[in-house]
Amino acid sequence: MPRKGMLEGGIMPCIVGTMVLVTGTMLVALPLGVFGAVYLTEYARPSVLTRLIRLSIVNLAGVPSVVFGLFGLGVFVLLCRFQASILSGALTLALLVLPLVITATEEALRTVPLSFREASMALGATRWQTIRKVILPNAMPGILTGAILSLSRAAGETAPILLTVAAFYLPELPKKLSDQVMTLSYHLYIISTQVPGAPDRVQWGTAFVLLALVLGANSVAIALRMSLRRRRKW
Amino acid sequence: MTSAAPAIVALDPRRYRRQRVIDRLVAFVLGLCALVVVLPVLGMIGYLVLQGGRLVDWGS
Repeated sequence: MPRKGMLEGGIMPCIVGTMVLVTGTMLVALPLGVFGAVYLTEYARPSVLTRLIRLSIVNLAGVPSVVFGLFGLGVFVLLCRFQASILSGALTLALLVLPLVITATEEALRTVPLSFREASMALGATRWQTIRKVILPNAMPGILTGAILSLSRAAGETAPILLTVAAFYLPELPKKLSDQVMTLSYHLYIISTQVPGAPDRVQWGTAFVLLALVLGANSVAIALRMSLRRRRKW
Repeated sequence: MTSAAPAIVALDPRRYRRQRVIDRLVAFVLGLCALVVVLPVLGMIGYLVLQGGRLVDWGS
């Protein structure tokens, strides 16, 4: 636990806070993103609505992360009265990674050959059965890769959580969704810019742990993708 | 792409109808999930640009 205004002690609350926040983010972004992408790839016909959704995805991907922070502050913290909490932060980060998840999932779904769909439907499966039992399992490596890359992005972001969840100094672990948390990225920012006389080892240590976390997640993504691809029969 | 399901379950119209209802329901839910992406964009335009102005102290 951090002590003496973060000049001594460890960064356990930051690691746990980052993990909790990222888990919450993925719980929101993954189902929404994957289902949205399935709709766009498998169901949607060219229409004004589809064009509006695609335009929104492109626009959302181009919005600077600090604007997401302001949006989260305005909507989740103030309007919905969630206060600065894990819930507000996770929802804000989920919006940030949603375009990434949708784009990765769409790409993964497009790699499944059309003949798989045709064969499934020729055997009498409905569209949903085809998606559930043929398309999604075959697209899983791509979807998982996209998900884990989004997870890394969420873990490394500072601006969106600045106004919605991050605590400056909170030497305890989060207990409920309405708690604030310390996170690694915000801790690194604070310790490097706002704490005079902070020992170098704290800054470098935090940076190392954050980097290890992100690289670890990316390595898991690569290993998972390779393992799932090896199981493919086509 | 058309499914062969109607032909195969023609002997069991009730099952076919049920599957068709499930399929449409799923399409509706998936469509709603896709629509969620539009909300933050509209929200950002609406809340940050129009309402957000109230939160800022523009000074004298």
